[in-house]
Amino acid sequence: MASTTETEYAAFLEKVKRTVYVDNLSPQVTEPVLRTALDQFGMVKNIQFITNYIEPEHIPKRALVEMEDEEQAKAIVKLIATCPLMIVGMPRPVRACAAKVEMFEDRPAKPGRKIEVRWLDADDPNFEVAQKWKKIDKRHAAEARFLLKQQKAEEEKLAKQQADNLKANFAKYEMIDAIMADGTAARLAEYYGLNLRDEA
Amino acid sequence: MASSDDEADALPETVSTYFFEDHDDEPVSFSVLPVSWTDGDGGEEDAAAAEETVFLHGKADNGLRKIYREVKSWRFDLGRSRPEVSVLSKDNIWFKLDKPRRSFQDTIRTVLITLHCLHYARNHPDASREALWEHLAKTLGFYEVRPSVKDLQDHVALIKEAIGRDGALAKSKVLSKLMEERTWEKSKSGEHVAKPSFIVDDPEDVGMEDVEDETAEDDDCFDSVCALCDNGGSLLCCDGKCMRSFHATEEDGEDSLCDSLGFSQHEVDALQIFKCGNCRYNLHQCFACGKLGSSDKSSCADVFQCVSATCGHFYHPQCVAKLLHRRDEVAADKLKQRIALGESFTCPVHKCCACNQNENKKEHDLQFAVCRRCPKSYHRKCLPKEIVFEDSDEDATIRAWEGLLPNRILIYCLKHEIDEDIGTPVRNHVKFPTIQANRAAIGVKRKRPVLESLSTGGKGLKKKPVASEDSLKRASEKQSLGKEKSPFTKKEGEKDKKVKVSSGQAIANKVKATYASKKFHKDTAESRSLEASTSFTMREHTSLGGERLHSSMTKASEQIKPGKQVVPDSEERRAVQPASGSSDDSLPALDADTERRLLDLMQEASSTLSMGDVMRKQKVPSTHAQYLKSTVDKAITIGKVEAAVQALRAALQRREEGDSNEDAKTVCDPDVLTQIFKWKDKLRVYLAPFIYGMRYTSFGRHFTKADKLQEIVDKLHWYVQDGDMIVDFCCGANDFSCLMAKKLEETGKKCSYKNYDVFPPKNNFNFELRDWMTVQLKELPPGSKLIMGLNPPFGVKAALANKFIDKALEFKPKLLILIAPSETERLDEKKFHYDLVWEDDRFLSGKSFYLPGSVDVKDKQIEQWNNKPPLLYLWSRRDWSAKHEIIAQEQGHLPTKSERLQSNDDCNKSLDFHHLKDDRSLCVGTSSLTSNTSMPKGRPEETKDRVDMAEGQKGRFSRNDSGRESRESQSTGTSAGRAKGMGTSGRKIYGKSPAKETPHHPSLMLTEGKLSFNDRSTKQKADSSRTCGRGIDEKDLPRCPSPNLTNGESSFNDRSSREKAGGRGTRGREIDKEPPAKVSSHHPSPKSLVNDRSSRSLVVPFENDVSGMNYQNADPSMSMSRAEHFYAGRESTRSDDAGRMYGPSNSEYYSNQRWSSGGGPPTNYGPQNLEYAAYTRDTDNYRPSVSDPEERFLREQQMRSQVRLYGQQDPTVSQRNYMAGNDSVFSRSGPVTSTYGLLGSESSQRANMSTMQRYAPRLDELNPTRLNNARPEAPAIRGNGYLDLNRRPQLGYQGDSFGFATGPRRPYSQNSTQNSNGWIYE
Repeated sequence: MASTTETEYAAFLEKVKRTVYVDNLSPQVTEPVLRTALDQFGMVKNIQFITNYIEPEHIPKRALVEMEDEEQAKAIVKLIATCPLMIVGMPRPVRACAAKVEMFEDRPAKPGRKIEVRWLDADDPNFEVAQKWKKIDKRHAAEARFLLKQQKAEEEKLAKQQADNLKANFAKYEMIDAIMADGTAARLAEYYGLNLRDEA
Repeated sequence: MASSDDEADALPETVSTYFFEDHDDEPVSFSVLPVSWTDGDGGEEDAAAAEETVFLHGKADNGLRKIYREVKSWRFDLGRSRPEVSVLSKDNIWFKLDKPRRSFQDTIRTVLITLHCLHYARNHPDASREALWEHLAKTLGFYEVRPSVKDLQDHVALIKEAIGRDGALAKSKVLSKLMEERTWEKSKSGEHVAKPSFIVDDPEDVGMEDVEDETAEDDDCFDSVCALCDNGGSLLCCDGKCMRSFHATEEDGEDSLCDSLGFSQHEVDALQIFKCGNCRYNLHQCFACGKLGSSDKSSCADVFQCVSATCGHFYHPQCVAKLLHRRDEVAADKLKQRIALGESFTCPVHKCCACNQNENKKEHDLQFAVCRRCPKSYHRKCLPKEIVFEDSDEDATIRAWEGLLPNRILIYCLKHEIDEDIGTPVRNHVKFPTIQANRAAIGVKRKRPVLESLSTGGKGLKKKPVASEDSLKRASEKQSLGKEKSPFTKKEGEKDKKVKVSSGQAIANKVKATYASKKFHKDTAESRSLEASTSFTMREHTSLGGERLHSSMTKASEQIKPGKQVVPDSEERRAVQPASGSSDDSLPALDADTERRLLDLMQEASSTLSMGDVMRKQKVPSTHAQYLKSTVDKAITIGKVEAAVQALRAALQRREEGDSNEDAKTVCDPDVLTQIFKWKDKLRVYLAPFIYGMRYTSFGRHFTKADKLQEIVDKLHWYVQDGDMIVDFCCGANDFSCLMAKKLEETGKKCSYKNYDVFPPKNNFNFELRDWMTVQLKELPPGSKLIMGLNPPFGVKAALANKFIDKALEFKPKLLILIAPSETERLDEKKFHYDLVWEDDRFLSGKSFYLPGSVDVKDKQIEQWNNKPPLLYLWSRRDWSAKHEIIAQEQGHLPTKSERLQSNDDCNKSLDFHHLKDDRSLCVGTSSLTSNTSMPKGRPEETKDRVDMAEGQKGRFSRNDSGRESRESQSTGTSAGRAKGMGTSGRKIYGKSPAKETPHHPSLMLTEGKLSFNDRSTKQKADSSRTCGRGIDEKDLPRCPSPNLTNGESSFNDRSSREKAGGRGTRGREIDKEPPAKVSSHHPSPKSLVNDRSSRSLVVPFENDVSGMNYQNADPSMSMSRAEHFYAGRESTRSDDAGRMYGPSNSEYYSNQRWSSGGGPPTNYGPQNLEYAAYTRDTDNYRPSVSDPEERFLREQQMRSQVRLYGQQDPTVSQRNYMAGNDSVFSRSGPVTSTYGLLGSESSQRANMSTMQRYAPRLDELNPTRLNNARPEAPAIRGNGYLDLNRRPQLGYQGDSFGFATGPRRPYSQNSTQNSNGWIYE
């Protein structure tokens, strides 16, 4: 019995090793999208999105991507660290790091470790401690939310900036394109005896 | 003193998180203190130190004790593992400096960099400069801006002194080199150093250099000097319509003491769009009177902009009208009204005020000298002597500078008095709108408006104001740095300063009042100031670029964790308190304190990271370099585009209204037009992902589909030998090698594999994660064992593909298999010549690629490559070519292909593939021939050659035969068509010729022609085979001349038979050219001939040579040597080969046709005419102007000959052209295709004709070229009926050859619209 849990756990650890934690994914990213995106760098075996229970809003998605072997997982982490990989649109480069045991919701219990759950009385000396941890936990969640908000604001700002930028540049392009399209440029070039090309 | 030093040395206390402040509590670098070089003289220099009082703050004893001392000098020690700095306090105690406080890092940036530089140089005397900067960037990584030479600038004296004192330093190469340059630069910086660089510093972008070099220098139609100080340098371009540039920061403008816009570098980086004050409020100055006026055309404008594309000046109607019509008041009045009504005008700047003529930038004398202060221009030749150039010897005030404005001279005309101090007239000419509210909106930190009011308020701004501005700036910088300080006192301080400097303006207050209303401004600078007022931390926060912040968020969130754990309990409790009562689900609200703390952390994290770092770290191999972004954003401003577009329209309008070209050019210079095209290209590249679909994938890679790869493998494996190494330099999914390995295993060949890419592939088979460019020569086996290639990244205009291929060529692989865009430089044009084994331009058409990582793989392809499928070709190293060609022949790669394509119902294709097939089989035949004929010249060999030829010819013949049969009588390819068309006529006319029994004969004849021709061209490439080509010529010789001499008509006959028998067509050509001469007096000596014609065009001499050779039968040796000479010359310019070759071949075939039609007996003429009538009918659409049937016929012939040639020529000489041609024709000509469809089912001749039709429009386009090419021989000389015929083709291929000569040097892409080049590619 002990041996089965142990082998199971060992297998799980192996799985952890060949898994990549991918972060900062656009909310539009679905499993097939992510799969194809990473499939070019190796064989994707399994994809598991991590649900955020505290923050169900539109926030960056996270996922655990299991690759065929550890090498591939490492390669992907390295690649994403060196080259900004956009999955579905700008401006959100994906982040990746090696997965950790704690990231798996369905992880098997560590052999030899038992978790006991029991109720505490209010006068139990541990009650204070538990209460404190609870508060800390909430506080962290609040802080995380705040940070996310800030981050979102920043991202929105950036996205807007990029959009504006793009729009401005596109306006330029349109303008130029217009005179190309209506032949103004070509005719003038003809008058000038210039030999211009338009590869479009 | 000495004793105290000892004491100090004994116990140097280490101070960490140190910083220095002066008596105003402003951070100051310790470098302001005197350096204590040795322990001994530390005291002596004390005296000098007196003027500055500097205090050291910091913590000692691991942060337990606070240090606060006044210090008087400092020293450094380079002998340790890292440079150590110590300061000596007033009470003579040395303090060793450990780590500066973070906020202090920027203050001591330059000196720290200098010290590290010295330290590195001392320990690595032989290190290269790159290594030095790399090292500095690493060790001083906390600086956002990479350390650069600039940082050393302030410490040159220190470095020199150090070198003088330290022998080890003096040995350092990099340092001494640096110093040399430094001094050089210093001396130069005093002068006007021109040329803008819009490029932000990204020194790492090495990979892209090649691509962008060409684009970097071309933004030079517009002013490249600062509008304030008229100097070049690093400029910020206004995005508005004024099109001016400014020095954005003081550093940028310091050479010319420019006031600059007063931005900080941060601000500039963060700016998305910069509009100057004038453009922002549509209030521009009249360039004539200097007054501000509204330029808003939608309301009532006071000032109007000159329509010239690059001008950008505004004028009051009355001002400019007065200037344009100086004497005629009535006219001026009229003009004024017209301008006021919105009519466009060009301002006086565009006419020389001395001679009233236009500018011509191309001609030196007619270049303009333009005054920067008023609308006055002179031609260079009209420039008054009083205006003195900077390099003149005269001891006069300099008023003119060259090289600052593109093709113009910058002057200050005599009206303006030059201020000796600044070297320009008083700089009060630029007025920004000075509306109070607006000014506030421009930003608190921008001192520009303040200063502006100062300067306009009177008096040139001399050193003083600049200085005060300086200190103000420093103050505000410090402000944002000194974050540990109480925000409130700090703010007070700033306010005080501002009030002081801005001469009592209540600006600061005003600013406050207007904050709320400022939100609508998008400018980052504003938002910054807005935030500055709201919260101290926020201000800190935003003083960094938005982008950077974003990228740093990562870190921020990482850092937040440790941060949390340190939170003291008490605080936690407090924060949690309010929440404890509420339900468990809701999260507690954070108190302001925590929020601020979090923001602090975010801020802190973001401050450790800069855009530059990220860019450096994350390099994407792509053509979308940051460079491009900066150009597109900053150099191509919307204002410029608008102005250019407007000007273009105006220019065209004027031109069409009948104005002269000159007038139009003042409005829109041709350069501007070219510029616009370049812009468009750039923008298109930049916007490509968005224009071609929003579903933008990462990395922009495209992979070849596996089934296509399998096909390639099936073909390629025949060429692989045991023990070869197959290298895929950009393996993508790594499918190719795997498939190859599988195939080769099946066939029992053992090979090794090597696959490179910069991204990990799906399959790790023999893969190495490497940039192909970094692979070293010795890492791979010798070239004779290498088979390389496949799908390189293409890049803009195939730039990357070229790079990859060039790199591959370094290894000299015996075979290169490539998928590359048609723009790629051909390998037979490279220095190290490769022969083409086969090529396929259709193979990859359609959906041959997929974009890895995109969801709907099937529909996703890069559109660009869809339109123009890249080529698949196999190149062989010279010494292996023969072998590979034999394999190609054996495996029937070439015919198979044509068959495959034949099955295609698209007639277009089949037609072309017949061509291809012809070429191929020819190619094969030739190659075998080549191997046979590599012997010295001489008659016996010639005969042998002949035999060989006959053999080859036979082989080909049969091939042709079978091919034709299999194809049946349906839309046969050109060869068949040709054979018939040509053959019939030939047979009819020359029915008596011995060789004509079989129906196939004509094709045979053609084949021969082709063959010999091919032969020749092959030879021309290889020295050894040269002989053979000559041999053929010579063979012709004995036969040819005599008939030639006798009479024109019969000579044709004779010749024709000769040609059938395998003679060279050159002969015919020569006759075409010179019939009168021949008949009368044999002919001019070859030499004189050459002389005669060589004047015509580059290519023609070759023809002469050939014809001359033929004439020369009598003197073979001579002709030989000449030809050899000629060939030798040609070896050198290989790229011209194709073009030159074309000439003779053209003529040759033309001549064939000529006799077949015109030269034949009249009886034959009739039927042929019918034929031609048919042609004519078909081609009429294309050339309605042609009326004379004969001429038409002639053209047909010509076209036809071209068509043939096209087919024939290709295999050896210009397959490239051929392929490219197909490409373009197919991709372009929809209508033609339809014609094909119709014709395809008809007779072979029809097919032929349709080919011609394809050419027809082009032919027309060629006509102008012909006309331009004046021929030395007067047409009248040729009195006979063929005259016309003769002349035209000659001119025709003159046109051709003209095209050829230039052709190869141009990228193919140009060809799509360039007619003169048309032939090459057809």
